[in-house]
Amino acid sequence: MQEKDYMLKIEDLSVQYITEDEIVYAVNGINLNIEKGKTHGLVGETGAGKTTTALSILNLVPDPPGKIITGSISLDGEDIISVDDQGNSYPAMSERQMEHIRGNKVAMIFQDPMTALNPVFTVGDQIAEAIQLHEHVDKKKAMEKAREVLEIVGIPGSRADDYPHQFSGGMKQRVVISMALACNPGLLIADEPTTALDVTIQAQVLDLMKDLRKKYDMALLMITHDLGIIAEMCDEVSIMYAGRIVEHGNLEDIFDHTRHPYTQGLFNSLPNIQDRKSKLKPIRGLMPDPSNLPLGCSFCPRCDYATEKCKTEPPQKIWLSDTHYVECHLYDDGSTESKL
Amino acid sequence: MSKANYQDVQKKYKKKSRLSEIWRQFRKNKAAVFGLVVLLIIILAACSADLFWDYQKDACDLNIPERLQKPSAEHILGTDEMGRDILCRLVYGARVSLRVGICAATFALLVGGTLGCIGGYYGGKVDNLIMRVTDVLLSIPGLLLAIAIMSAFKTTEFFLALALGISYISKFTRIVRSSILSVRDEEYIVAARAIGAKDSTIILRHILLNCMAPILVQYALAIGTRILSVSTLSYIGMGIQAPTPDWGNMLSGARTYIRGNSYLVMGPGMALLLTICSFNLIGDGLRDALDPKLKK
Amino acid sequence: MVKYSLKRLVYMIPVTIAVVFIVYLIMYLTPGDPVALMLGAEATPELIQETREALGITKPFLTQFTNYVVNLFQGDFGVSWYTGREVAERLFASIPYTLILTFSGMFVALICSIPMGVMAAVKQNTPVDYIVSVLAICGVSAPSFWVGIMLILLLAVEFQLLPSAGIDGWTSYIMPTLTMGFNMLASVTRTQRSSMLEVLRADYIRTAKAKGVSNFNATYKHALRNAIIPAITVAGINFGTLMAGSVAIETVFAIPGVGRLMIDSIKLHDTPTVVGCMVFVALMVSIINLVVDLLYAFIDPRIKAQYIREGGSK
Repeated sequence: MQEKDYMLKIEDLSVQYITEDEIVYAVNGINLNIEKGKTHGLVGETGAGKTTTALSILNLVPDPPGKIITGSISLDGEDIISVDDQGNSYPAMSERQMEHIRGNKVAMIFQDPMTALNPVFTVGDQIAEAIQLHEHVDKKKAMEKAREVLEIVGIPGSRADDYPHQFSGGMKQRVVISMALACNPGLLIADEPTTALDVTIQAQVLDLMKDLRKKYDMALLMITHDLGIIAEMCDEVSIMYAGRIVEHGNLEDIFDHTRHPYTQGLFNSLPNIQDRKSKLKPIRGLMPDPSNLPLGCSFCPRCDYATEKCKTEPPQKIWLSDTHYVECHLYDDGSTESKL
Repeated sequence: MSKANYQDVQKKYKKKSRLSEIWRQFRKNKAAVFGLVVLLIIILAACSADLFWDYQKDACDLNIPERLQKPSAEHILGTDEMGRDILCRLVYGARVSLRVGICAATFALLVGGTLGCIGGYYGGKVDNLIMRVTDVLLSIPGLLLAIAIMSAFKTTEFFLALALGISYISKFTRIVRSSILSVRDEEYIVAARAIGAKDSTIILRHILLNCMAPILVQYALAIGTRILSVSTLSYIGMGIQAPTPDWGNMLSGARTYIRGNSYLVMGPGMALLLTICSFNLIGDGLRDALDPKLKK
Repeated sequence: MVKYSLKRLVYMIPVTIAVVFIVYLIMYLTPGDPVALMLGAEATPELIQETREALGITKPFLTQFTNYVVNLFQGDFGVSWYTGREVAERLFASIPYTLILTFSGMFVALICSIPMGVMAAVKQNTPVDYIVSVLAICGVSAPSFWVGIMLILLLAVEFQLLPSAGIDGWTSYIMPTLTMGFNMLASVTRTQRSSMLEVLRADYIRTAKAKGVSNFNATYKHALRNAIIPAITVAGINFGTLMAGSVAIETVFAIPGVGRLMIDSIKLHDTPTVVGCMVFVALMVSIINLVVDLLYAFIDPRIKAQYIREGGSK
């Protein structure tokens, strides 16, 4: 397997939130690589550690209480973070350098557009601020460019002088997108960009993002719990559960050769448009408390296929093909056929 | 177990666990616990005063031969300009302050709370009227209103509590009204109305229970500010009158003698500071414990 | 905006009348005869009755009240029932002292409290935060007249740096100003700290950092402007407390301000003077509230939009 041109490499990342009462194990040793110009989907329920993963890439995990325990992250070949086994962190980059990376090489779109914009500054000011920081132009030039990027996301440039409260939710998300794109980042992280929007607006925003991704040839990390969005947009998919990636593969691997019981559960929870009378089969139970994870496989208490081994031993990563791996004891025997 | 019975048990369990959760959160706040302990000590001292002193003889009557004695083994905090033991007067002063402060705050809570409920829940003309009156009352600083009211009353504890209570009504009206407005149109209230619950049931059970937090916090803070006002009024001569011991009139009596006798103002001042501080700390602690959003 | 301000100014008229009504009513109900107090023990009953009629005290309450309001709007504060001279004369002589005290106190409080609150929030759970928090909780709990006495003990008696009472040059204002400012300083610091803590956790701060804004700018440019609104609100609300506090502070430092004038007049049952003082205080409080509300509009565009809507619709 030849070394590919990766935009983002995450290796063995673990993040914990440490408070007086408890330790929340948010992310527990994940690997995630994105090639340049590709779209990678990260799927999971609320609380699976998706947002924490995204914030780690920007080194913006709120500290305290958040702490990166192990792992390394590199962006376009440059190390951002590396922490060794003893927990000594080597801040590969100073805060100054990090500021230069944020918004420039990697930008992020947040879940809730209603609160993502500062209410006391005009949207133009907020976009221009990013441009000024990274492109070293004067205020006037930055404002001009801010108007241009607004036009790109379908907002008249004249509205740059308006304040966030004068925009609707969908329009605000467009503003947030334009702010993220303002400096042509190599990687865009979209953290559930459409969850807070109406369904019809969702489709518009997704189309916009798809077009823009192509136009700028960015890598995109799409965080979502909506498998429909994944099918629509992504090249590769990682399924995240309780801080681990339990199944990973390309679109075909995940959708047509589903191997992990949790992934299967996710598909079964989707309504079937072809067969409207079919009943949903939701996954029973709830995600385990991330401050008190089960000893073995975290999915074990909800899994229909669980064995004794699942209760005591955490499963290891098993490669089923060059592109597809799964963390499940069902495949310990080396078989690659579905056991579901 | 019948179904109704089961629900009862469930409710009781839930209620208890919520209270114990609040207590658990409160206990974590060291400053708030400190405030509670200080307050308990002050209350205990105020209650047990009669075991050590005779009210009339030790706290009120003149004892000129022993006047202005510096702190000693016999008089731990010294004696005042009339020869009375300062510690003794402090302890009896605590009774006055706590009594008047708590009564005033409670009166304001009941009257202001009721007005706020009516205005917030029914809206319209009633609300408008209540809010206009509140506006007017708020444009007169509470302390000045209390002073003006006191001029019409006799300077007894009862009237002092009444005056200080009246001057605080508008604050409670506002807080209760805005709390109610914030939940009035929530779905569970609409739902309760839809199943035909009585207005009084909706207000008392559904609305007030859900906005207890800010009201309770305000109540704790109100007692603190009322005690502060008692002492201020007494200091300027419009409150508790000598020889009845009160921290405020002790300070005003001492004002002329402070040169060389600074111990005179330490006791009453610290007593005021600690008491009001403890109510403020308890209020802060309650707010943090009741409102999980503000948790650090 | 202009419309909104005008509306608010017009609204002060009924508020003032209502204040006059309340205070006048209270004074009317107060037992005791001001004229007997004024004329002393030797006055004959006839003289007392004559003076009462001359002052208009014998008229029914509503007539007295209406006359007072009508005169007030012509700029006439009436005649003192104690000195027999114009109320305005003494009132206007006292106002400067009180204004200097309250505004300098407020100024000192604001320029110290906002940086202190921000610092405590940014350095949450460090010694800096603890010191500021302890100072603030003591400040809101300590009675201002006691703080004044302690300052006198320290600066006038112990070190003999400043005059202890009365007004004798600008140094006389230092201690009263500090005393005045202390309470507000504490309450604004507390508010600034907690609102700053809340805003620092807001999504838009994260957005700002995600686009490369430095920690410093995220704090002082993005967060402070949002977090300062509650602090200003508290300062505005506390202005009334500050004015009321002048009653006690002017007593401690023997300053002939409005507070002292009012207390003295209440004791003498001099209704016109008391009402005059109250009208002054109520007007000041209303004006400061208006200024605070207008200040919001410059800080927060959402509030500005709301004012413009309200100003236009009604």
